[in-house]
Amino acid sequence: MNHAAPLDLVAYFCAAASASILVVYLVRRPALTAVSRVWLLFGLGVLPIGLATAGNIQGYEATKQRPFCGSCHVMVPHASDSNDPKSLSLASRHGRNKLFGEENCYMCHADYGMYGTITTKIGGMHHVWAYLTEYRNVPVEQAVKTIHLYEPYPNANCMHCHSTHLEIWNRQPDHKAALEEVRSGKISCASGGCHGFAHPFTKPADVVQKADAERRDRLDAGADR
Amino acid sequence: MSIARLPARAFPRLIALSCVLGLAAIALMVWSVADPRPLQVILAMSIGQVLGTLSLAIFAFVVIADLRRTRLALAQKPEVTSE
Repeated sequence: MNHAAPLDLVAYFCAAASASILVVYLVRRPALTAVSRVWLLFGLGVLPIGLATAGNIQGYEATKQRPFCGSCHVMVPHASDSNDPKSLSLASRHGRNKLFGEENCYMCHADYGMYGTITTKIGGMHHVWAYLTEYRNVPVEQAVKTIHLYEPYPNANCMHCHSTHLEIWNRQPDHKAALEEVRSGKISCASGGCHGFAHPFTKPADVVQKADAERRDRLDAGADR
Repeated sequence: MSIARLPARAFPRLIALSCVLGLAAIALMVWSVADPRPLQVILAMSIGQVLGTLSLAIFAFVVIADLRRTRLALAQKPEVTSE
């Protein structure tokens, strides 16, 4: 996992210094004087607050990493496919993009907007709850078929990068023809007939094959035009 | 019981309790930094921070109680007047 090392060091320093002060107090039990109060203020206040701040930032950054998402066994196939250099799934193709990289799960599934981070974290807690209550003992093979999004994947997340306003995007006939449907979410970018499923191994093989064939035909027709 | 009337002998015990809670909070937070997985991160950001805040609150309570007790004791001392 990619950590910001300086923050780790800050957290470890604060933890070590604070723990030393507290252990020394517990062993020696000095009288409560002005000097001991100041030491305890550092041991119980200043240094733990430093540790909590560094730890929270580190924790927050860690939650964006693909290995974090893949740390629940039911997400291992999704994380492995994203990390597979030979995979042609949308998830993997985005994972190979430097702008997404190790954070591709978060980048595609995060809610954007003013309170996006908060709503994403609330959604993350929902995932943890669902894992503990429903999926903890479900075998991976079964989970891959049954896990689903709470709501259809919003095109707005794709449009965060692919705005649909650039000429190069509208030059593609399919884009131009379905512009309003794409913007309104009536047609999903990550559907079988368009850019393919983000995690195709979660779909039945015949559905994926049919979608791939349709897409190939459409691309061939586009090349002929 | 008002803060000033808290027996002074309780202070060291409360401070010791505060230190133990603080150490537990530190352990949870360090665990999440060293091994950031869902359970560790959630524990650090919930129980860890509650324990840390509680330990600081107990310390602040004891310090305020001790200061008030000292001030009350000084106020109750008879004033020494010079003839």
